[in-house]
Amino acid sequence: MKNIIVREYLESLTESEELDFIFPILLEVMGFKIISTPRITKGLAQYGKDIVAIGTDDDSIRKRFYFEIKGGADKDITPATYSKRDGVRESIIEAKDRSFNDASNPDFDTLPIKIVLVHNGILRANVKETFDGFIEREFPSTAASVKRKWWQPNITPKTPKLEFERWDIYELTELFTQHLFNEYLLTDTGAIDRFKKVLVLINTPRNDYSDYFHLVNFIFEKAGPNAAMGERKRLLFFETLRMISFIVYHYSRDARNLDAARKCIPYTVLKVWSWILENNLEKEQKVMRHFEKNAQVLHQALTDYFESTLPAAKRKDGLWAPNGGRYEQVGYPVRAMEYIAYLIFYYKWQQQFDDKIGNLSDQQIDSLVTVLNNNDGTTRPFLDNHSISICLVLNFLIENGKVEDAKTYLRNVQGSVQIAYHTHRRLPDGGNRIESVIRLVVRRQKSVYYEDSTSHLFGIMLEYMAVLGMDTEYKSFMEFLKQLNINLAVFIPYDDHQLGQYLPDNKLSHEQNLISHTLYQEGYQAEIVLEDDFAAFQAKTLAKPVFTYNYRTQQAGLIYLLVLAHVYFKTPLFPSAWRLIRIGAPV
Amino acid sequence: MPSRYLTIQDCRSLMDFDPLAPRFLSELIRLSIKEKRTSFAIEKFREQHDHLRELELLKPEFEKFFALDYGMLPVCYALAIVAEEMMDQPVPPDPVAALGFANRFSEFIRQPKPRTYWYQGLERRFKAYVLLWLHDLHKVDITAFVQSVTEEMKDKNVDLQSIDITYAYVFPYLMDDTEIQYKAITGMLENARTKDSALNTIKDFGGINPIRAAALYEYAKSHDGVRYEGLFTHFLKGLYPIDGDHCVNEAIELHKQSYVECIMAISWLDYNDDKHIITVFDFTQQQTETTIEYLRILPSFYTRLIDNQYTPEEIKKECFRLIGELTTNEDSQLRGDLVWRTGMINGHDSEKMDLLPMFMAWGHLGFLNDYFSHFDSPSSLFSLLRQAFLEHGMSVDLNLFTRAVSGQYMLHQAQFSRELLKFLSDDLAIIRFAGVRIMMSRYGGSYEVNFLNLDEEGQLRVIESLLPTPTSIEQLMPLIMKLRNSLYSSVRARLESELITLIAAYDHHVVDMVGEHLDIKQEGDKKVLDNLNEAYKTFKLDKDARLKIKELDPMENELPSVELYYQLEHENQTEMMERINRQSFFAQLARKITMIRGSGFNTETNQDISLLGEVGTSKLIDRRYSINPDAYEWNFRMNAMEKNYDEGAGQ
Repeated sequence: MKNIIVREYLESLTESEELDFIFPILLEVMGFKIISTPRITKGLAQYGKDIVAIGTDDDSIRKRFYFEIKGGADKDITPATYSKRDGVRESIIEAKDRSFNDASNPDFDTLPIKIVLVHNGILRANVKETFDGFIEREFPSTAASVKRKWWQPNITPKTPKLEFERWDIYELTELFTQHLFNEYLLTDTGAIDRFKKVLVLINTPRNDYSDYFHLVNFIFEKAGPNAAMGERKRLLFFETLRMISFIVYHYSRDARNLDAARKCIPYTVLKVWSWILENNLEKEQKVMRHFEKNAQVLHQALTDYFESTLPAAKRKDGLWAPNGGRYEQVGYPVRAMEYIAYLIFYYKWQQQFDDKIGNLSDQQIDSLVTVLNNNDGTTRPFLDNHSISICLVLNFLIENGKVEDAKTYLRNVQGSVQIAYHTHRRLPDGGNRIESVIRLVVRRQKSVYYEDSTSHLFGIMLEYMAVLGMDTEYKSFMEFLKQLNINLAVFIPYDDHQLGQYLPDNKLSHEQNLISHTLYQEGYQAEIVLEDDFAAFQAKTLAKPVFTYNYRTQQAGLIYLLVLAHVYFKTPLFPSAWRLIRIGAPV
Repeated sequence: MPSRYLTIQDCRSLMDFDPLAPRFLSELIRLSIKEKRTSFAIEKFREQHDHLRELELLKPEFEKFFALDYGMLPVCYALAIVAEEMMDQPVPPDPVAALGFANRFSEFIRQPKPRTYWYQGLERRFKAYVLLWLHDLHKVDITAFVQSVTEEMKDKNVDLQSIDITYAYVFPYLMDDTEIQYKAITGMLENARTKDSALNTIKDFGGINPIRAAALYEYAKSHDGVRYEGLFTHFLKGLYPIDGDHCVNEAIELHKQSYVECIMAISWLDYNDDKHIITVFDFTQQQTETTIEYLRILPSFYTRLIDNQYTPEEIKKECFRLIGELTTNEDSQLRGDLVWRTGMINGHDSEKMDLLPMFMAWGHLGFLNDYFSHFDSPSSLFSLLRQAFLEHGMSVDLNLFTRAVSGQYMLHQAQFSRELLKFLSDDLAIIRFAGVRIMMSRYGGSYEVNFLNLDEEGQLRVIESLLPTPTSIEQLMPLIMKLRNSLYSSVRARLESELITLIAAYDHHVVDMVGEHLDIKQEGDKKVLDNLNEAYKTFKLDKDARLKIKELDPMENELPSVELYYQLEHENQTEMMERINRQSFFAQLARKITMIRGSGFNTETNQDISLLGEVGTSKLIDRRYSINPDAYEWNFRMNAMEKNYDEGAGQ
């Protein structure tokens, strides 16, 4: 059963890059030292050396391994894939004839060479004779070792200088099962079932991804604390997580719907980071490299996600779905709010790693403003925690010098809130339940869970008006809210000391709480009282103390993760996000 | 004028004397039976019409058609001959058998659809005729026969079931003694089932046979006639055309016995002399009677005087004033009758409008729907609507006016269209909004107006009022598309651009609907269609591109929410249907069986399987509503409330 699942998964890697991605993971856990990967050599001629690594062979001899990977359309060795240009035959000859130098490993040039043809398919019978003849000619001393069971003892008495092996789907299945999946993923029937469900259900419409989340949680449970695991186990732990993130990404991309990747992979990334914080490992370079590799999968998934959706989102009402029918009354604004939150998170992440920040942010601002202008769903909060998207948009615009655009956006949100009330008597739901909102829209009935007598969103909007000097808007919004008699407040998290004081059972720090789930109990509601005089309210707001915290995540240079935590777990931003803004001064 | 035909012998004489009469009657009766219709085009049957009109055998003409009057004995005489020929047997000389013959004949001429009673009063009149025939020729005592029929006999014999009602029709022709007649008619008045027929007969009696009617009236006066409400009134009403002076005096004198009978009689006389009107009006003004029974009849008196052509203008004016006075009375029956009868007054729009605030002050506006049904012009109604929308804005409940509006449209189409066009192109947005609502308020459609009758500015305003947020595009399209033939290029261009905008709202339906109203052989029409198709192509490319992006597809990623939405919507609709069913008249008649599985059903008593039929209707919904319902509704309101061309104009 295990082998079938793994084999089916490996066979499903239809793009050649997909095999390129996971194969090095296998080599790493098998103890190979990777010198060069397809990513490193991307854009350069590879001359039959997709992966170059140093490792100890079964004969206990340290060797240079040249892995030639054939996946996707070339996964099976057929007369066509064998003989075509840059096909199997040509690649093997080039791997043999072209040298590869690596100065960082002094003994590299002296090590014997083993060329391994890796393909997630089979050798077709109608080309077998030709292929075997070719190998016999090119690798006369090792022809006999071209075998299906690569791990059986080599019968060649003397180690040749140039050897050849072929790893097909069956061998890859054995290798992946034995070295990678056995440790964390396929340990018992429950885990196997869960993994199977993840693979099968990942792109089904009703999937709430609970199997995925359980599987990830299971891996963490199985791993335990860092202190209890050795170097190899830790490597396997990180690589397993990276593998399942990749599996979700790969399946989502195959289904041409990266929404599953957007919803699942952040969970793993945040959970890994939480584990690192918990084990105080954020200063260990090796660990950080593992983490970055995990985060890289999310970055790739989001890059693909926005490449696919952004052109559409920039069109008029591009985030509105033509096939949603009347549901789009709710679906469109909720989707739009979520979309811009992730877009800004992605942009901030990009900015952190891009050297040409100026140019990049111009493009980002241009795209963001286009999305905002063309999608009025981005100005219509249905839930109180849509404040997250609104705050992110405002801050992103302000940070990038677009203060007037920020004001316009805030004005639009205010207008939308008031129009929604005047036309449909609807205010955003403080309970943040989409079901309650749908019930209100469809049946004109507020469920008992619908909460609109207190609003954090409006409190935040009014404080933004204060820091942005929007006197007129403040007054008109205040008048509107006065008639409705709504209590205004903001959420302020407990710091570590307060957590110990008020929630003694909660053993996590504020930061760990923030990274691992939505904050609800772990903070308090601070009332906002409006002043008739705008200047008085402005002065009061700017003078209010803000929650400050020394985030280890920030110290580790991963501030984008804090944004992701707010966006993913839907924890509203804290007052420091706006109360510290001073127009004219850097934010 | 008394009837010329009182006996079967009178009929025979007519037929013998005038051979054309039986021929024409027979021809028309046979044609009527063959074609299942009762009216004939005067133009086509000119000779028959003129001849039979001369003989007073036709009903009053309706437009260019005439119909035989089966209330006239000679028509039934001819009908009996046709019946005997068609049934191939003579009318039996026995009352029960004769009524059976009339019933069978009636059923025969209804074939092949025996449940379709196409012939109006023919059957009843024919039955009355055969009774009179038995009375005249076979000396059957019809009154005694009718009185001998018991309820049990009626139950057993379908031919006798409505013998008492049939008797009312034959009553004026019977030669019974006055005493017997009085006994028979008061017997009918005492029975709720026959009371109305009896009163009608008494009223007709004066016209058919005034001498015998007068004798019976005198007999009633000297006996207990006053006991029977309406008896004297109907006698006098029937006899008034014969001797008006006497009847007016008699009516006034009635007050000595009963004020109510007196006011009823003077109210219901069809006065043909202003002297009589002045007399009775003066009489009523001198009365101090204030009982509610008396007052309840005054609305009929005043409104009938207003409608009477012989009433002097000053009395009419006074009647309106007196109606106004009556509005202060709090009796609900009086109020209901007062407003209903005032609404029934023909014309006098201005006076009726002056009374309207008094009726509205009662607080119940349900009467408005019927109040305008006899107005000479729709101007008053539109004026009221204007006032209502100016005062109450979008919250005006147009249901209060829908029947009034449709009534005025039926009565005064041209003037109605002019008024509606004025609304649709008004300076004030709220009035244009009112115009749109009025136009779309027609049951199952919209009121037709020709926008081309407006000037350039008016046409542009109509486009601006109707197209940005159309309420019912299917009904609107035929009207608005007429503007493609506008003389003004600005109008044509604006129409085209607005139609292109609507593609986002209605998809290809817009192109289809527009196409239905275009003649592509015309250069201009072809260009409009080409431009629309081009715009649709761009729209479609965009739509298809969006549909390919699964990341933004709610069916892929938000299915539980989508399902919840539609499940709640379904619940909503089901509850609404439940509410409707609870109030449904049909639901009270029928047994309700809910089907939980299957496409058909049967019952134990009927083993045939009845398949479920499909009943459905579709209405295009503006898709832009689902994009942003808040903004859509807001824009709709702004379009309706705020977009005024000239502040204050038209107020």
